[in-house]
Amino acid sequence: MRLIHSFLWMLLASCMLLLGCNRTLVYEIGPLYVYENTSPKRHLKSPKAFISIAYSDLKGVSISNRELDKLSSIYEGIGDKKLGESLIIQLLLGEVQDSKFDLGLWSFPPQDVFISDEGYGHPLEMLYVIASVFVVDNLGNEGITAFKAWCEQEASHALLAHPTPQSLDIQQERVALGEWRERYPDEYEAVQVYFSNVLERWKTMSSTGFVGLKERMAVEMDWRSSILQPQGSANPLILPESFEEVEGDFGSFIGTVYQTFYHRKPTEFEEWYVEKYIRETPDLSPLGLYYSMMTSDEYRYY
Amino acid sequence: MNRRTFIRTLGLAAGSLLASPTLLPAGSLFAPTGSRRVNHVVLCLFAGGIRNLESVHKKDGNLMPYSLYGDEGISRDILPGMDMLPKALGKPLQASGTLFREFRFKSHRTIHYSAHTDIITGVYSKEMKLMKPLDYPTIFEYYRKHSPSYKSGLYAWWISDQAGPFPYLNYSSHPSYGPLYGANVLQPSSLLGLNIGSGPRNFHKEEMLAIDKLQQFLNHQFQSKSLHGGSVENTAEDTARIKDFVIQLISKHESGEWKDPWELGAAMNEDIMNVFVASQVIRAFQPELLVVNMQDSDIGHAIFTQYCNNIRKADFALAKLWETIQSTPGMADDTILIAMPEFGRNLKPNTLVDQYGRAAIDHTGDPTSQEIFCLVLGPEGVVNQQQVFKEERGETIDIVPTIADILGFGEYLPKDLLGGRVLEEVFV
Repeated sequence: MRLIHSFLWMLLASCMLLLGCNRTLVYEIGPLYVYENTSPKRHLKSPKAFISIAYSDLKGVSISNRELDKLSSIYEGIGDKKLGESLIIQLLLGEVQDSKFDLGLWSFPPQDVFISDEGYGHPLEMLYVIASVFVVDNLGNEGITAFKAWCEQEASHALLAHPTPQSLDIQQERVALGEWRERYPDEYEAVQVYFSNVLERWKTMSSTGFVGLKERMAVEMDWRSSILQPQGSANPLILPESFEEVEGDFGSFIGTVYQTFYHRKPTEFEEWYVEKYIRETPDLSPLGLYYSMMTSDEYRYY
Repeated sequence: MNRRTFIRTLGLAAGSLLASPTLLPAGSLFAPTGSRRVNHVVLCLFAGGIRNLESVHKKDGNLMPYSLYGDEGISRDILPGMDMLPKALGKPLQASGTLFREFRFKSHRTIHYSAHTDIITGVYSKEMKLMKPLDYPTIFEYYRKHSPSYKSGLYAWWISDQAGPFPYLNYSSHPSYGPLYGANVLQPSSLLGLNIGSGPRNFHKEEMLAIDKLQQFLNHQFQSKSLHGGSVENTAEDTARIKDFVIQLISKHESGEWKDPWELGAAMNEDIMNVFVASQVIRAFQPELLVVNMQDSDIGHAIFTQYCNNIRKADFALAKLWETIQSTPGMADDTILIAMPEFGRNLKPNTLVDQYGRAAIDHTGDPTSQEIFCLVLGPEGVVNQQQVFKEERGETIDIVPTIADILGFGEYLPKDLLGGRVLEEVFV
């Protein structure tokens, strides 16, 4: 009996101990995915990249060598670089306002210049070489795979009948690129700037990986239209005379502006704030909005 | 606390307050006490490599009639190669100050950029880094950091005749100085003659305020730091003023109004335009420290006669610079102008002979290429007038300590970095 009594007391004590402890409750929820609004922008644009991207963003066409030299000269001539950049944006906005678009073509040398002993017979072959090196340098293995696939797909294209699209030898390409750079420094610079633009778009569009890169390449790298005939790729920014023109669809307008200048969608807060600000600030014009964004810190980065 | 303890504690506290230094925004412990000789200094690098033989020794006549006494005619053989310039009237600049006829650039490194660096830093450089901030602090940084009151970038200007590395002379990478204390730079030949077409989109004041406010929001969302760590920066207000100035400069040049502002016709060159822009900076901002250079005389490598011709033009431009200073309220009678070549040229010519039978001259560091002059102009009562030193005296690295002395912050120069001296003999 005494033994039973002791056992009962021990049982009671154990129960009290167990019941007296805090219970840990685990609430399980479904997986939560947090998406970044954009890939992080850590790289400061070089002066030439800044100018050419600004030009292309505003006019929807690639900048010509002549225009790039002119605007770069202004940048070089002023010690306060931020001031220089804002002046360049003002000059571009002045042209946009007056609709005096410079649709100058890339100043490639005549085709016969490219018929060389090295076996490169067409300007597009130089572009191919540059593109392949850029892809390797900027997009990594995944980019190379996509690039090769794209080359195979496009191999039937007469202009892109490069001898080795399927066996990309980057070292060989790099040597060829060096030769081109030495022989045609201006053209090299022009194409380099062009690819800076293209690659920037790729990078910012591919924050969740390189899904669809092949498709994007097919669009972005339609060299015939986007380089040799830049007018054909014109995709100018919407430029309303006033904000009243976009009154009915502010959200879409702000989204387009963010996509154009920052290569990302605005957050809901940004969209709300900017819309509210525009509505409450009659002094601000659409060009003022563009100027504000193009001289902001984020626009300096890619 | 008894009365005695209270008084003792109070005394100690007051004493330590008096003894403890005041930390100024510039980082110095006490405000400089040195008084200023004048409130503005303009340094004109009469550069491009000019031999004393052609300047102060007048071997081919007085090529610098605006600056130097003397009516020696220009050598007959090169006379047809000279452009027409307005005749110099009245007293030459030399009358308003002190001339060092035998100044020296005591280095064999007669490279334009390197010699510019030496003058602006006060140190003979041993190595040259192109397109990068300098190793040693510049006079601009010393001025902006050590002046007794805050000096914005509007007070310090570098007007560069050439692009390339020259615009980089406005600040150093020295850890105690840097772009925060740098000068504003204008490089006119990069800005002018570009045919900018429509011109900039200008925003009226109210819209600019709206833009600024929106931009604050945008920047806050991005939160980046040190965007332009590699550039001098101005306040929003100063930026607006400078931008207006640059736009006016470009527009007036494009309209033709400022293409030949001093009506020189064919004689107009980049040196004169550079000095003209410096003159406009003086008019617009009354800077306390401005450095401007000229380099067209470097054609002496190839065409001797044109070299002489460009010395004459530089002389004309220097006179215009002084005239501008003396007609600008706030700077007239309160400015010291220092003019000097960065170095000379070789004694022996090279093998290139021009159409007038004269051989060209290089600068490769021989003793003659280290001989230069230095002209220091200023108000009576501050600068000794009509004074000439014929013997060897002074060198290019003396310019930084001399400017610091003039502007009253000489005692704060880091003596371990600088080897020059104040040109005391200039001052009354």
